[in-house]
Amino acid sequence: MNHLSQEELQDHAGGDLPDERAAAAADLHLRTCAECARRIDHFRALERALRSMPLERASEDLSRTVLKRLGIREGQSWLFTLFMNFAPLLALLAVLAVVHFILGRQPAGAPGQNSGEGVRTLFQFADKYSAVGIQSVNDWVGKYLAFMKGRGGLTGFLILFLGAIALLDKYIVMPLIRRRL
Amino acid sequence: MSLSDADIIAQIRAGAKPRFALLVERYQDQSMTLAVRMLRNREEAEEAVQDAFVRAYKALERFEGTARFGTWLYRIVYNVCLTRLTRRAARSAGRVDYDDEQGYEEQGGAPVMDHAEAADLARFIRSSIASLPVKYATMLSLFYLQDLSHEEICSVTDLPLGTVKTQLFRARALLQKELLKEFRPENTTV
Ligand SMILES: [Zn+2]
Repeated sequence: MNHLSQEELQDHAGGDLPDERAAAAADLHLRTCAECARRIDHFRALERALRSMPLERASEDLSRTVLKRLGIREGQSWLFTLFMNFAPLLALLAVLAVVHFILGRQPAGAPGQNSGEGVRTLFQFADKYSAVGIQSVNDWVGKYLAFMKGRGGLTGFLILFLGAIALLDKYIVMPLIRRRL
Repeated sequence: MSLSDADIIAQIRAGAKPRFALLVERYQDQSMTLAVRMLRNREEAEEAVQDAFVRAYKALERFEGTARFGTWLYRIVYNVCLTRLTRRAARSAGRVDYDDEQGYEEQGGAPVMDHAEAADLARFIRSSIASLPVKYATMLSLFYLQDLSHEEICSVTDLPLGTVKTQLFRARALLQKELLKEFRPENTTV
């Protein structure tokens, strides 16, 4: 009887014999020939080892390097560009809306200055940069954020205001944009 | 939810260029493995893979989607590495490393492993592959690691089917010989 050729052994071990009949004939021989059975075991072990070889790992920043080489800025789509340019403005509008909402809820007959007046001046402030505007912002701060009284009031308010925009931008607007892309 | 390669390519073509990073991340380790097998130098392999992705991006318009994206990409990786091997051989005024079979036979096969290394089959095979002629190491990588069919390997390497099958056969036979030499000294037949 003819032993299986090395090619047949390899093909059989890799499940790659040309047809069913050849596979059946090889199986029959393997059942009756200890020599070929031993040799095919070696090829099966090799086959398993080759299939389970670990992959080489590319460096972590490969994709960034490739994009950079291609001159693609991360998030360069029109949507991203739009949001990049308008995010601070959106944040500003959001903060103003919140301020407006809070002031709007104050009872109309509150003692001292009219709160509605203060808010209107706040919006005018953006248009005119008037000293009056700054003064009423200061008044408003003195009224509603009593802990920041006097001359430091406006500075405190601006710090809070810009901080709020920055936080809003960092934790809400930008993550939303990134998720969208 | 993971997007198919075709989906991502469609998005890139529609203008979402940064999406290419997803394809890079998806195929970078496979590409790196092929490049390391061919170039046998991590640093150079890293450069080659970068080059290949840059080329792939520029040629993306020409990807028709009839083949798997992976197969198309590996063809680029393969060609970039082959060019580097040819250049390297020209610099050292020697043969093209890729086809150097004679050198392997002259050395009497793979170098003898020390025992710590031989104790670990996977590591033994890995170092045996690293000492095979490059064309065999490449075939083994394409078939077992990039998981390509014989026909896909033909389209990656531009070699005829018969050659691909012969080289794979020869690569396995050489590895088997090394294995038996190392682990079963009493067996002389393969
Ligand atoms: Zn037999």
